[in-house]
Amino acid sequence: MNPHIEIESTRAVARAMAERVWGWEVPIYLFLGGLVAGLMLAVSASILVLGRERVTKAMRLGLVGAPVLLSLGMGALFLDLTYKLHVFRFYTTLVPTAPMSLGSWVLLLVYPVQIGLILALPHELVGKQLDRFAFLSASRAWCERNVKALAGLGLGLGAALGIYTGVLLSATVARPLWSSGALGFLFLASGASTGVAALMIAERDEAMNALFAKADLALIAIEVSVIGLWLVGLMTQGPLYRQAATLVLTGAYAPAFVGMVVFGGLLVPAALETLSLRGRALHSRWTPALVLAGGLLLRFVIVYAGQDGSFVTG
Amino acid sequence: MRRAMVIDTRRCVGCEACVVACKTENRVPEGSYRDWVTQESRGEFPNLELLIRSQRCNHCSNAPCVTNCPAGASFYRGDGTVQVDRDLCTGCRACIESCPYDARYVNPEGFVDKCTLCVHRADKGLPTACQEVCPTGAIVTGDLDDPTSLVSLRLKRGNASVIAAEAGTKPNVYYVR
Repeated sequence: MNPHIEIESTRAVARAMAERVWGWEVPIYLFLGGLVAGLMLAVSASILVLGRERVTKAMRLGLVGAPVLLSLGMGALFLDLTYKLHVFRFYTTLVPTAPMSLGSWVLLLVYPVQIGLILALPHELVGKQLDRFAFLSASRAWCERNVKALAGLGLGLGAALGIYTGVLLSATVARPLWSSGALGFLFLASGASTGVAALMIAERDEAMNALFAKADLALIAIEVSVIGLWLVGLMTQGPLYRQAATLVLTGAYAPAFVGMVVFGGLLVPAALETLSLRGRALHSRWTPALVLAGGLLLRFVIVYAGQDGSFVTG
Repeated sequence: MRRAMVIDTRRCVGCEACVVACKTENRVPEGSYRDWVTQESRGEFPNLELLIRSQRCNHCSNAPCVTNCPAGASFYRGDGTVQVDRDLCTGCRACIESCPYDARYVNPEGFVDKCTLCVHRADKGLPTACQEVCPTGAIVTGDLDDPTSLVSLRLKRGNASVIAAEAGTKPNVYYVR
């Protein structure tokens, strides 16, 4: 039998004209969620490994910025809802099988830990204000005493938040491109990398910048490896999954994915960071900016390309 | 009780009466469909094969739309069908992204909707709207746990299949050919 197949459907025109189910709001939310997870991981790890004395102004600024960025991300998610009045329904139940439900509750837990870390290590922008109120002053003293416990919570919740942004996609069964457990780790590594990159942009301490560059190099190496695992997994699963992988490797999304995410957002910054660490190039803020742009584009490509694949054609 | 639908593709003529009946019965908004008909032609003239299927939500026993709904709005009814509680729905569309059959749509009011297997009619002992209007009797619904039901009898004849079995969702809409 000739394999030629043609399918006509009642809803063909409606499907062709339909917009993407998830538009720009979701990748923006996933990017900001990952970035915040990265900031929490980087600062918490610094507190635990280097000690609170080594926490720099840039890290304190990152702590202040994290809840703001997270709120912007949640704002994007709110804009995405088609039944906005029912947003409170996320918090009237907990569905253990639904990553979006688990993520909603993780987001609620993240805020108090972020506030605790800000109180323990206040940036000068907020530090003066804290001593004006007795309650805040007492809270600050408590957070300072428990800063290591808060950093431990920050590590755990940062990892949960970072993984969740990828699992949100991989738990859906209907999109072959997303059908991989690797996405959780990819988004965690990418989130951590963008968090470190954001700190590198604000950091003025050269020694700390060198440390961040080393950390970012390791994260980029992990990210590239996980991307490889994800795509090899898809290419070996079956025709539908291979077709989905082809979309980002040689198809319509290849210029954005291969050219701008892998090359421009990972390999080029990795090369520049290596040169900078070896003293052959000056540290430039453009390098972490490329990592941030690559991280943002990664989410857009995966969310958009994923929705172009389906189990049914009619 | 496990409510299912069996569609005999040899009887289906692709008249789309099921689509019109569903749209009328359930006031499905313009541009959206709870059921639709696909015509799949394979081969090259003169060796052609035509398969006509009336499709809809497959009311899967392992439904990712239910497991991925963050608000518990998608749920299994007592008869095994998958339903949406519009009062709980947030319109996050995780269920749409989770459905391998692309069987869900957003109602203009904001909530997500889909085929209910006409539960409102079934509760009164009536067949689904699509089954009632099908001029060739291609569509039947009934209880798979009852060996004397029409769906069980049709499935016993063999050659039954489901769409996208590889998705692993255990659909309850079967196609006999």
